[in-house]
Formats: sequence, structure tokens, C-alpha cells
Amino acid sequence: MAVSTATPEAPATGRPGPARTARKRPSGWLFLAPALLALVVLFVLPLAGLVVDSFTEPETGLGNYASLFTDGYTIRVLGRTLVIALIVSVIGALLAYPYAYAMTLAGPTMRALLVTIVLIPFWTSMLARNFAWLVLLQDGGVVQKILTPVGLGDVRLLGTPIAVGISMTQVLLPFLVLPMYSAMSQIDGRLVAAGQSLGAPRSRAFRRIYLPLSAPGVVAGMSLVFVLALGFYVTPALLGSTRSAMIAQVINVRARELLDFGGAGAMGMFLLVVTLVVLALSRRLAGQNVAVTAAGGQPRRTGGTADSSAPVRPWLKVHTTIVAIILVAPTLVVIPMSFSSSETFRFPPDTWSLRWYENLFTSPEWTAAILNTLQVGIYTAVIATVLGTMAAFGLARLRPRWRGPVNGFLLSPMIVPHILVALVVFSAFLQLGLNGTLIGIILAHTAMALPFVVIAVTARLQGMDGRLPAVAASLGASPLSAFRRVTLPLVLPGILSGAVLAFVTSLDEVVIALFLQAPGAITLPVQMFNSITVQIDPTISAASSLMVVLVSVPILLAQVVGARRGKKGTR
Amino acid sequence: MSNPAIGASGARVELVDLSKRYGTAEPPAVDHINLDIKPGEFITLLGPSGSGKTTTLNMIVGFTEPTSGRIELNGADISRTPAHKRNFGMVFQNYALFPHLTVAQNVAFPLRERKVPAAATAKLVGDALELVDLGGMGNRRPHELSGGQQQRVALARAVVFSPGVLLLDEPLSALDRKLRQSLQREIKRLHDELGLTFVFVTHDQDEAMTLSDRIAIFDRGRIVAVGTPAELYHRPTTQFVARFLGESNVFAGRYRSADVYEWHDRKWTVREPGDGSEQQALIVRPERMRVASDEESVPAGSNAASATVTDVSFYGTYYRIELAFDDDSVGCAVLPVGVPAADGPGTRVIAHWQPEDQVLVSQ
Repeated sequence: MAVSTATPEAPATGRPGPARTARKRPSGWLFLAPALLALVVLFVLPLAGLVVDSFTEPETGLGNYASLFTDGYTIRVLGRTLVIALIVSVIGALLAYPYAYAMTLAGPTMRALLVTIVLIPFWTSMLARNFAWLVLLQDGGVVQKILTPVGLGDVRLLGTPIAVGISMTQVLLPFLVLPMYSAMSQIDGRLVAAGQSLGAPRSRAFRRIYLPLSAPGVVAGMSLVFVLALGFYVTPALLGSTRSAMIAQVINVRARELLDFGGAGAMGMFLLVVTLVVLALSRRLAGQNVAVTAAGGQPRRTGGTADSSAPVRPWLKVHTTIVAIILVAPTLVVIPMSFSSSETFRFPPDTWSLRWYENLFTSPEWTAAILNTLQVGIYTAVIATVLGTMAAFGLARLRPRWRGPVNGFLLSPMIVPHILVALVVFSAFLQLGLNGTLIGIILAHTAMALPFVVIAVTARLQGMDGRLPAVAASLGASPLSAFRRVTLPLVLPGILSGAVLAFVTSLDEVVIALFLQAPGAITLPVQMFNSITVQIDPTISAASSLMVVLVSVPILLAQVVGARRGKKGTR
Repeated sequence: MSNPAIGASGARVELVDLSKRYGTAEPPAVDHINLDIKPGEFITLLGPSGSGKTTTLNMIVGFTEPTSGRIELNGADISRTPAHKRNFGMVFQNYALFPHLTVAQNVAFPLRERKVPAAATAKLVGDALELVDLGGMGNRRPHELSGGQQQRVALARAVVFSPGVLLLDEPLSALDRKLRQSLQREIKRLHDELGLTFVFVTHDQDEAMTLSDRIAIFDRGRIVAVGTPAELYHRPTTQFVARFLGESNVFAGRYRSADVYEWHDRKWTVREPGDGSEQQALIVRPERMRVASDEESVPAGSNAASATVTDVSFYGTYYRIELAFDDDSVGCAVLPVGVPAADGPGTRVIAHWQPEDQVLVSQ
């Protein structure tokens, strides 16, 4: 037979089909320019300005950084923040691991239920959930009543780090369960059985085989939660007290009340550095283990294979049930609360009424807040979708060696703690006169929402057969026509879900909106926040329910559209 | 015949001194090739992967711009014409159907680009689907079809607008053996019915042999031979062609004066001068080779070589005998049932053939 005398047909591979012509394509940068410019102006330059401030305000030197560790107060705040974040991620992991494991063992129906339960917190706005915990943990609240039989009924919870920790753990639990589940579902269920057949007792086989293989998910989840917990502002502000303040609260006070941007900037930098270090470490750790997983054999879904070797133990059922209750509890509190007729946050309510809804939709400050929120959300969704979609198309046209770094830059707003973004934007917008305007909030939200659009559209573009535009050309379609008739319809679901994510991100965002608020520019989450901290106004319970609806309707809609389009399929 | 209808007179495509070089890569992906594709012809570009055949096809359809040389369609230079204005049909390896469109919408795609009226479109789409035996499947989605059906849709889509030329880029390589054979017949039938020029790219020699009017064999960016399947099989011009198209026993001996070819310890009769140089290989196709148990049984006038049998397999209608020749080269003989075969492995035999059944090729 033929002697194979292969010479490379094209530089990279011989058979990518007619992919695209090998012409130079500077247009990639053209598509990226608006998004990159927006991030630089809204984010990079202000951040750089803040870094400069941290070294120069009020006087040049390392004074701000030195005082982090020497003024006696800040160091305690930093220590407390780190400890709370660590405890939250450890306890969260202990709760999440068995739950995720149970998800892999469950049958299809049960698994769908467990997945839905994990996602419920995402559909319940941040403020609604914190409000629910405030109701549950208050003096004489449900949690205290449960603790009474064990003699802990008079332990004060609200205003303590315990309340902060409980609420943060619940709020962050999905971020632990999901990566763990994703790692576990890659594990071949037969491996533990194989370990047992090689002489290891069940528990040791689990410890030596399953645990290491699921470790990447654990590391990824814990580091993400640790990082997110560090920058938490709303929860400690609502459920804690200033005596046990966390770093974000101190940044808030320094920046907004003392206008000490040097000091706040130094704290923000500390937060950013810790975040980057933790994420880099986790990537190294998880990355190595991912290689182990790959070497461990064909990754496969654990559908029914695990069932034979691992029956669902009773303790696992109990644990899973408890975690499920913790996950849905706040949502279950918020909705009945909104129908209460009481002036207090008493739960469960004694009498029912619609008065808080009436107030929500009639009182000027609440209706203004709702309209502001919708306005900000829609503008953010539109701008972020346009910029993000163009950027995703630009990314796909870049040379591979540029793609990674540019993508990383576009996604960077996701890993920077919100409190730092808020601080950066606040200090910059103060000089530009954008503070206290909806435009300021829209611009800042656009930067936050951009990554979600880029991710959604990129995923869709990558799932598309790259030859199809060329195929269309061979059938007579001009480049414009090929884009309109082939590329756009195939990528549209990604664009839509990006838009929904951008809208929801903006809708639920509190910290930046809090920093930029002014009498004419108060969004619904800010109004809710103020209704607890400034005056006690039970209208928040109706607002919380409204938020659940506002968030879940677009998501459900997107899913229905997605399912319809899914039938049309990408492949 | 009703109007409108699918089918057109096939177009003539000429490749003139065509080259494609990626950067400064040496040798070029396509290296100064010339090929005259006649109207209505079924021509196959055959070669190992990386030999430049797909690059050539991509230049013809307009996905890749030539570095030099030109492509002519019915005498007009189209080298710089963008793909969507060339009016060529193309079928791709992995179907490449539009997943968001139904089968009928896929087939209607090129018609819509050409602003064909709705009534004519409906008729043409129906005809095209009938043509590939998919009548009534128009409302399905591509993912609801089998691989073979998807490739039929792709065929219908590529011919529905009656292009003068249909280009096929390894259209069968993603299919299993049985489907491949039935689709081969389908493609051949389409060619006969439509009268289009077909340019078919493959690395599968059997496919090339059974389908083509002519085959152009590619090696390292060049066309090393062009001819009908029978010409190329029986009278290969180079060792590469002989090895690539079918199986061969290749004897690396020396062409001595006049009519003597020397191999190992033998002298053979040759009737053709070949290219005249000493360094020529002598090719014998396996089905032309016979085996004898001793020198006495070799017919007079035959050329012969001693060998050891390494394997004998039975294929129903023929035996295949693997041979190790005395110069340590290996080969085989294919013997119809009824012709004297050899005993099992280890047997010493004399392989022999008639001088007119051998071919001298340049190295």
C-alpha cells in the first residue's frame, strides 16, 4: 500500500475543512474594541487611580498599608473577616459534599428535584434571602424557638457573627454544591467497587479513591466561596453589628462617610490580593487533580452505575433533607411574610392582608425604586448584550495566542469583589459627577454583566460548526447573508440567555447601587436595604416577593425559549 | 421536461499552474498543478492526506486564495471571484447541514439566495429530495436523520440550484462501509442523471476506482498522474502510483541493456524500455502472479522469483498468498479458486508471471 508521505497541508491541521480563509483578520480587535474600552474606562483606569490614592492619600508613602496592621482596629477586622470566610467555606463544604454525593446517587426525578432546590437561592434575590434570615434569626424567631428545647432559646443570634455566618453559608451553598456535583458526576462509579475488589473496605475505598477524585470540585467550590465571603457587605451589614464588622463594612464607612479613599483603597487592595492568591492557589491545586481525574479512566456520568455499589444510607437521606430545607427556607419565609398584616417581622404571621403590596405599588419611594430598577436592568442588559456579543465574535476571530489573555481580561469583573468594584466606581464617578445618577449605576452594572454575555455567546459560538458560514458561501450566500441566515440564528439563544443573565445581575446588584445611590437614583434592592437599616418597613417582604418574580420570570422565559430552540439543536 | 428543473450542462474547469503556499512552508501545499476538467466529467482527486487535494478543492470553490496560477471556468478566470459568486455546489465530509433549518429549508437555502420565486422553489426542493430518495422528509430536522440521510440532504442542497460543477470533499468517509457503498451508487447515478461535472476528493482508492471517469493522483502538492482508472491501474507510471492504486509486488532490481532486467539472482525478460535508466522498479499486480512448487512447473517464457510462503488466506472466491521473496522484500499473489495454490506457511515456491503483465516504473 501507499507509503504515507504526508506533508502538512495547512500550518496547523490538514483537515479543518474549508474553515476560513487564512487572510489576516484585524476585524477581531474591531469587534472587541467597545467592550475593552468600556472595561478600561469603567474599571481599569479607576482601579489604577485608587491604587495611586492608596499610596498618596493623604500623604505619599506606605502609611495606609502600614495602618492596616498597626492601628489595632483594622487588623482585628481583617482577621475576623478571614476567620468568618474560612468557617463559612468549611461548614458549607461539610454541608454540601454529602448533598452533592446524594445528587449523583439519586434517580433522575430525585436528581432533578435536588438540582432545582440548589438553584432556588439563585432565583431569590440577595436582599430577600438576607431579609428572610433576619426574620428567622430575630429574637423570638423560628430558630430561637427550635433551639429552646436544648436550652439555647435565649441565646441572642441577630447582630452576632453567628447570624452572619449562618446566612452567608446558606447564600453561598450553591457555589459549593455545583462544582462538587460536577466533579463527582465525572467519576466512574465502578472505581470504588474496583477498589473494594482489590481488598479495600468500603470506607477506605471511598477515602482513597472517591475523595481524591472529587477533590477538584471541593477545592474549586471552597476557594470560590472563601473569596466571595471575604467581600460580603449586605449580610454583615444587615445581620451583624458594627462591633463585629467585616472588611467590606469598614471600606464602606471609610469611603462613603470619611471620604478616606487612601485608607479604603489600601483595604480594597488587600482584599484583591488575597482573592487573587486564593484563586491562583486553587487553580493549581484543582488543576493538578483534574489531571488525576483524566488519568483515572474514561470520565463518565454516574447514572446508575454507582447504585449497585453504594446504596443511599439513611444518614445521607437525613443530611440531604436538612440541607434542602436550609436551601429553600428563606424563599419559603419571604412569600408568606409578604401577606402579613402585621407591622412587625413576626413569622409566621398571625393575620393576613395585601397592605404591603398596596404600599409597594402606591408609595412614591417604592414605585420610583421599582421603575429605577427596571430601567437600570433593561439598559444594562441592552448595552452589555451588544458589547458582550460583539466581544465574543471578536474573540473567536482573534489569533489563539491572544484569545486567552483577552478573554481573561473580559471576565475579570467576575472575580473582583463587588465591594472593591463599588469602591473603585464610587471614587471615579465622584470626580465625573456620575454619582447619584442612574447612568452611573447602569455603566457600573454593564461592566459587571459583560462577562456573563461573553461566556454565554462564546459557548454558543464554540458549539457551532465553524464551517457553516463557508458552507453558506458555497451555496451562494454573501458574507452578510451568511451571518444573517446562519450564524445569527445559531448564536441567538446564547445572546438571549446572556441578556437575561445581564438583566438579572443588574436587578439583584446591591453593593454598587448602594454606593452610587442618591435621592433620585435608588434601585429596589437599595430601597429594600434602607427599609431595614434606616426605618423598619415591612413593605420589604412584598418587595422581596416581587424580586423573586422579577428574577424567575426572565429565567423561566429563557428556559422555555431555550428548550424550543434546543429542539432545533446545534448538532 | 417541466420547468424549472434540476440539471445543467456540466461546466469545464481548468487549473492553470495553480499553487498555494502557507507562509514559507516547503514544499508548497499545492505546487504548480495543471488539470483540465472536461464538461460533465467525473474526476477524482486522489492522494494521501496532506497531499494537497483538499487545498486544491478549496481553491476551486473559493475558500482558499491561490498563491499563484489561475482557475478558469468555461474559459473565464475566476481566481479572484468570491465563493458565493462562483455557483459551484459543494458536499462536505461531515454533512454540514444547517442545524436550525429543516431538511426542506436546507435544500431551499441556495434558491433563496438566488431569489427563486416560492412556487419554483417548492418544486425544485421537492424534485431534489425525490432525487435522493428523501421525498416526504422535508419537515424533519437534520439531527433526526441518519448519517447517510444527512449526506443525501447535503447532496440535494448542493445540486438543487443546478450548478455547473459539484465538488465533493470526502463525502463518504464519515459513513460506515455498507452505507458508503450504497451512497457511492447514489452519487454515480446522480452524475449520470444530472450531467454535471463532478470533482470528487478522496483518499480511498476503491472509491476512486469505482466512481471516476478519470483520476488525478496527488503526492506532496503535485499531480503525479492523470488517467482513467484502468490506465492508471494497468500502466502506472511511477512506483508511487502503483503502490497507491491497488496492491503491487515491487521488485527493486536493475534495468540492464536491451531487454534484460536483473533482480537478486535472476535475469528477467522485459519488452519495454521504460524511462531507459537503470534505476527502475518492476511492478507485478498480485492477480497476475502465479505460484509453482518447482522450477519445472513454471511455464516457458515466464519471469520467476523464488519465495517463501508466509501466510495463506481463503476468501471464498480466491486465495491470497503472502510471500517473502529472497531479497527480503514482501509481496502477495491472489489466486482464483481452481488455480494451483500453495501449501501452508513455510513452503518454498516459485512465483512467476508473463512479461507482458509486468510494468517498469521510475523510482
